[in-house]
Amino acid sequence: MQRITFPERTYQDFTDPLVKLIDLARIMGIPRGPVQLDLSRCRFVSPLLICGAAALVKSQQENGIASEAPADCHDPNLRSYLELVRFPHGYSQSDATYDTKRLLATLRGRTYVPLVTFPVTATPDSGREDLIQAVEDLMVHQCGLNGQMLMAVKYLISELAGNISYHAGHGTGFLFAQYYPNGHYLDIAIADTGQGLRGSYIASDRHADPGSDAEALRMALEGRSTKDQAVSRGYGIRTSRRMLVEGLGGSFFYWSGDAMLLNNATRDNIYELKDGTRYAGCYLALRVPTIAQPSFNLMGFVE
Amino acid sequence: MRPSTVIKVQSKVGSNPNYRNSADILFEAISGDIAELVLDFSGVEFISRGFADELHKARLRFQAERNVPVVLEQVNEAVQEMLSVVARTQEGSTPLRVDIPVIRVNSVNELERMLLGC
Repeated sequence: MQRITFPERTYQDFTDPLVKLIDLARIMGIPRGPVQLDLSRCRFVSPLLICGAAALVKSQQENGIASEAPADCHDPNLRSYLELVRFPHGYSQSDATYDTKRLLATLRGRTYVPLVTFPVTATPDSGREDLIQAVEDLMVHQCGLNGQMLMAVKYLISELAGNISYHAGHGTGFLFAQYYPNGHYLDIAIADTGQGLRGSYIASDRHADPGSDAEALRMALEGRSTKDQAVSRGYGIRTSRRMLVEGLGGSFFYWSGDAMLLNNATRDNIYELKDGTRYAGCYLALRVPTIAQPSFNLMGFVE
Repeated sequence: MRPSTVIKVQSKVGSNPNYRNSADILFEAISGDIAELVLDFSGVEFISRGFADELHKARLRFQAERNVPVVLEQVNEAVQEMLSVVARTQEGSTPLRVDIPVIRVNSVNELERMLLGC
């Protein structure tokens, strides 16, 4: 089993953990055999990287590759944190029991939520909803959100986590977040180990193969639904991105296959990475300012 | 006189229904000859766009199939606005053309340089 040394730390700019995650995916894709992520020297790791790494490991496991990421690190604070959020397996809806409720109550005074995992299924699942709802409520409490900001965060999570259920096709969904009170922002990562955006279009009977991951991403940004009821569906990514970037001044990152969108105040580009590095499912990272401009109105962005 | 049936939305789907498919639950197992169906939203704080969208469709479907009006009660402002938005969208909409530049990069190092400090 190949051992991959995890970055010692990530920095607080939005793209640093994302680039490190992309590099991790590149390295994990090289041997095409089991890997062990070595976190022993880590001191500070962004939730954006933690969530993505957990999803990468899970994706390999679901493909029969026995990769692992033990939460063993020398730094006692980080070790305690990783154990508490239950990296890399996360809390699943089967854990939505007394223990999970107790953990969520314990975390009310902290700045992070547990890593949450849920199976991909398009059928209604009250257990999944209850778990995501509980984590969403915890985030809102930790950040002290109310009014338009509260609704904006709920909208983003419901649309983007909901998309996983409808589009991923198979696999596991992930949700993780951390609030940075000094910076007044919330980092949210949402990922799945499913078929990816292009796979979702191919699997639908409404579209031909987009031809590339970049084109599939562009179609999703246009609001082209992969589902059979075209009208009024498919706006989740488009409206979420507009609301976050144009309305709140945040940052939006979406990665599927070899294509990734980065949209914030200074960038609005799709990057196509042609060195063979891929993310098989979908991975999203959001940086959400927790203080909105007085003029911000959620409904101005919802379509 | 035919009776009304009142469904407490919160008790069926919680106070913040997120998922599209949850909307159908509200219309399940409504049997008999009723004069109207009342969806009571008291205690519901927020609904996702997907839930609102499916609720709109399911409501129209129920009204057409059963010839029974569906009335919403105790709807807060946020829920009202979301319902209005999806109703407008369902009148028809076309995707907006998105022409974001696609930048091809050949290595993670090159990507890192491009994204530095963003």
